[in-house]
Amino acid sequence: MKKNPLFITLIFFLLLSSSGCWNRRELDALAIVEAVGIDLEQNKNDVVLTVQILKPAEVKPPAGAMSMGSPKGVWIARSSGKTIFEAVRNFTFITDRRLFWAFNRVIIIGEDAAKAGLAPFIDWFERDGETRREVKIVIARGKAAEVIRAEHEQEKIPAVAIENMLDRGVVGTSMVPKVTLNDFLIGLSSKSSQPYAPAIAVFSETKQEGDDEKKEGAQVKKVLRPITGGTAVFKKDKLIGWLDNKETRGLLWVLGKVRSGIIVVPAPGKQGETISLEIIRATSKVVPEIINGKLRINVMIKEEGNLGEQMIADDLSKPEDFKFLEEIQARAIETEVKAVIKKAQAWGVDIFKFGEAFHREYPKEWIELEKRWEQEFPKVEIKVNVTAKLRHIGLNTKRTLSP
Amino acid sequence: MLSKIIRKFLSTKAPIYSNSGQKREEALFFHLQLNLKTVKDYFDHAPDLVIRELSVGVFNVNAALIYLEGLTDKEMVNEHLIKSLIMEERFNYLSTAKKPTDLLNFIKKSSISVAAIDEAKTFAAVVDGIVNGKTALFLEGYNTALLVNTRGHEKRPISEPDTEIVVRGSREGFTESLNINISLLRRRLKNPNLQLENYTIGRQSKTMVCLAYLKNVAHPELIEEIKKRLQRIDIDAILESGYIEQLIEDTPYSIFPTVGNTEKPDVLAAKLLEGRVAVLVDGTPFALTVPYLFIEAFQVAEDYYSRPFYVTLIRWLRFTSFMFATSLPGFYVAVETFHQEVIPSTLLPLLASSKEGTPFPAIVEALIMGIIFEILREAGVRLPRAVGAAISIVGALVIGEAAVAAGLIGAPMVITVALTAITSFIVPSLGDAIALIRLFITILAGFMGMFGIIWGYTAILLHLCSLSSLGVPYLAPLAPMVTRDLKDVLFRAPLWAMLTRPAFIGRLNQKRQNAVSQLQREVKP
Repeated sequence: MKKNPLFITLIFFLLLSSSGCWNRRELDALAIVEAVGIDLEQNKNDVVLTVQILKPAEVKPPAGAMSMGSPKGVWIARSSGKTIFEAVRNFTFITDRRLFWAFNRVIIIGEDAAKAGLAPFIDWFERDGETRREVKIVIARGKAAEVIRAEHEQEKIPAVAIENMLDRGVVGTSMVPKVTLNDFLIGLSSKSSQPYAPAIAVFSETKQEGDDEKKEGAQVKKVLRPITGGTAVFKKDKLIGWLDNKETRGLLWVLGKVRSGIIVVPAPGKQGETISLEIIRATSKVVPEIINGKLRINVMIKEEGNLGEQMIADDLSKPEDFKFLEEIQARAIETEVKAVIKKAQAWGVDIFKFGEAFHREYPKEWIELEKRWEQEFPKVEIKVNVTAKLRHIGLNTKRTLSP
Repeated sequence: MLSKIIRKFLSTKAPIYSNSGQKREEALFFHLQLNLKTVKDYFDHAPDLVIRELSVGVFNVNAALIYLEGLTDKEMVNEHLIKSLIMEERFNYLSTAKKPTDLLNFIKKSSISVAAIDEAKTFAAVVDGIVNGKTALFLEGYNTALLVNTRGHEKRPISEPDTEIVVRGSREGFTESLNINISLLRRRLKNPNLQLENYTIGRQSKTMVCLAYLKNVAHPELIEEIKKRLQRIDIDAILESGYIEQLIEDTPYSIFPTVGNTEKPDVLAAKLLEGRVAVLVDGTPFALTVPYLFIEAFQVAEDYYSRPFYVTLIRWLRFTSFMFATSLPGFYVAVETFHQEVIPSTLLPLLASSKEGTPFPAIVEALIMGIIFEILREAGVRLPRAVGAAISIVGALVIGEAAVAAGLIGAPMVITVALTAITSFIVPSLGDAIALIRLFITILAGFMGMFGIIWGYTAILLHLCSLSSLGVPYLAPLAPMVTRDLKDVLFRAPLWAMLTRPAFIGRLNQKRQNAVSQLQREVKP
């Protein structure tokens, strides 16, 4: 056959059409999953998945379309199966579109499932090509399905609200850790340290229906709202207990992950009056020591803060006052840290990565130590050393109304 | 089968009708009337052929002027030919007092006050002269005719060109008259090194084509090659420089132009100064330049007239626009059909909601909108100006607004096509190549997604690498890389730093200026 360039081009285009748009999927043929909740069925045999599926037309109504009230931007669908993957495929019984997982923002795991051990439930999320490891993982106090059903006033997609709350937790209060599926898997695969994940719960709120709140007979409806705060601590893949807000910050102090937050300390000299100190930056250093076979950990935390608010009228801008405030600030931090260490040692879970610190510092001893780390960890002597500094006092020196 | 059809197109079995008559090489007669009759026969009694018979001065020698009305300057014929032949010959006689032995030579030397005069001995030459606007003077008893250059016809005045508009820079543009164009060029390069060579191309049209180059800059091999190519042309008419372009270009099967064109004398002068060769064609304001490189499409006259900093930014915008114009619809189709996971999650609801309920797949939407845009563009160009406004209303309102409101096409697709349309105008000289690449990339993206786009661009890049314009690699100075020449590619270096001409083009004479830096000059307060 003659090699005619036109002929070759023709062959090429025929070849193109024979590929037949393989794997083609139009955007309007996808059910975009925004959040997924994993629960165990009552009889513990089945896995129940509850998902938020994006309803694009509700979130961004096309120009000219009437906006009716504030419709929910997601559709809550539920499916169950023996395994996660089966439950995922079982969604086809009720959805007309193919579930698309790349935009899944959060995986919410119910308390039951977490207590039963969640390693089997996250294998699919780790293995599948469409899901992402950057997805946030969060443990529900109660049923995950309730959190999935919870609405948010500002965001039409509740998953967006949950994701943002988890993201901003460290920036606002440092009382909500930020844990992605990837982080969780790393914690799970470590031989010495244990994983943790932020906790989420729901609270109910009464909401009046309709625009005019004073209108008589306005329907009052109860709505569920998600609320973050606190941490779920795991032993291997099983939930062992919860940390409250302050304990969570204690954990983040040790890990050096505190970004900001408010420390409320008693005012010097005045009973019952308080002062707010704003954390502006913090670092931590963990130095392990083995002295005569005894294990010791030195946690050194350096913190800088601002005087953010004072309830008392005194002028606190004097150096002596600053010294004093720095001192009580350091003590407040130390209390937070010690509380969480006590709890963790009682549970016997090393969530602070102390084992890894020993591994780095004493690689030879670690070979022996690793085998009995679980028994050793509660006995480790932990010294907390906090250096706190105050930097600024804001825009005024004294409170305006000073007697 | 296709190859058969193509071969049939290219075959020249059809007879070529030649107008080179058998009489053409005939010599002139001594007899005036016989000469006149023969010339008349040539033109077949054309209504615009003027034959003015007169008797020269006091000798009463019969003579005749032949010219084509409309091609000649009437005033010139009347004042400098008829008047001087009839009237002034009498004074000449009084001063010399005897009839000159060679009257023809006498007239040529001392009575016709026109600069350019030729002698012609054959009818072919005479006819050639007449069709070129010359006036032929026949004398009784001479087998030689005088061809007096009385050329002159209605010309469009020099005006600002419609293409290549600049804010800063010369407003002059070429016109349809070759003489004016040459004068515009001469005025910018006042230098005998500017060489002009005339060719007459076209069996029927006899179009004047002028080759222009700077003798001490352009490479002789390049000049020889272009001359060879011009001489090779055998076509019946050259109506625009586009004819020449298509007949001399290196790669007639490529969608990329390998011959450049410009309407501006200052641009042409700059190209000649870089060592390029220009071809000016009578009857069109578009002059051709060779070699033409890919990068020239991104260089604009104003780049060199304004200060270099903003120009560098604009040049990168042009590169970006080229990529946008070729890839945007394809990218959108690929993302919407195959790679939804690359959409930023904040953008997703918007894209998804606009796709909701639209009846066509993304690839069909893209092709429909692309074709509609091409139709609108073509209509806008061809329609009379007064109707142009109507087109833009129909385009913007009916097709854009209504199609989105009716839910036929998603709004992001309209935005994509609109952005593509605007960006494709930023690099006008690659406009047609861009439209074709865009179509190619869009179809590939529809079938194979991002893989197809990468595949398509690889093919285009390979093709670009294989091109050359008169021996100069088309992608120079990017591939092959000439680091020195990147001064006018990736950024526009200050003029005082542009010390050399482009390496591949101005090979013969590399130095543009001495490296006397402006930074070294003394600053006195």
